[in-house]
Amino acid sequence: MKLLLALAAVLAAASLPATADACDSCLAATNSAVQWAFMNASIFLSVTPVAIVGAFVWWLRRRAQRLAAEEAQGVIHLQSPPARAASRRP
Amino acid sequence: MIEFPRRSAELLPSPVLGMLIFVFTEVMLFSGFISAFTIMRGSAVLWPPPGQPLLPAAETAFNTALLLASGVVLWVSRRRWATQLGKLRRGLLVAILLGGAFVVLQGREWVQLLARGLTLRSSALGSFFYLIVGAHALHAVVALGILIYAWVRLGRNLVPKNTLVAAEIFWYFVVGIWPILYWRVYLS
Repeated sequence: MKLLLALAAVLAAASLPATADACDSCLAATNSAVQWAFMNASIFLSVTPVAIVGAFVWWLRRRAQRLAAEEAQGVIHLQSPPARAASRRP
Repeated sequence: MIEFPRRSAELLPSPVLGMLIFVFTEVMLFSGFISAFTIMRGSAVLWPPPGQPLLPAAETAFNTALLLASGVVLWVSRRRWATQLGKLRRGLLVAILLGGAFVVLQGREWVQLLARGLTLRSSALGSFFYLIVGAHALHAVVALGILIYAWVRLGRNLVPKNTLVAAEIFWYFVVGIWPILYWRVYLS
């Protein structure tokens, strides 16, 4: 019952942010410029970490593919992590 | 058949990973500064605040060009002369001098702005200006220190390659984030 009530409160707050005073943009926006600034700041701060982590994963994957190709050609040998290297020893 | 010794390689060396994580946190720090500045700027009725000087966007554009040139010189030096230490060292020195010129000219700009009444306490513009540009200047000075250290050690061939790459990443961060700060603080 408590869980249902809490869920209902969360849903109400989410559907009526201005009434619940739960939205920075609605609360503090005295004019459209401030609202615009809040919106942009929210989008910027949400997208930036995702973009950075995404770019990092993409770069790492590309590098792994390139190194694997070089290893296959015998140009390099990839260093194994210590635990893996130790387990391979006879 | 002759077998050439194979070069050892790591997917992601520890100094590089450590620096990337550090740079990520720094990017988020500056993102927070920029967001706060954008909201404050949006809520201001008059901009710049009354009695406050205009920021010298044209002069700073020249400083920006110096900093960008420094990043480009470092990038090209590393790509072209990765194995020729003498030339690499010369390229690194040019990058350091360009970066140093940026810091010195920015310092001169600060002195002029302080004389014209823009201080940390004079207005919201002053507070944010010195916070954001000052934080960047601090990063630039530290990064220059690391580059100078690398340049000295490179002369004796004592810099591990991954340490040099980590130092480079930090400098690229200092160079890369500046145009965004310039655009938001000086031009918006």
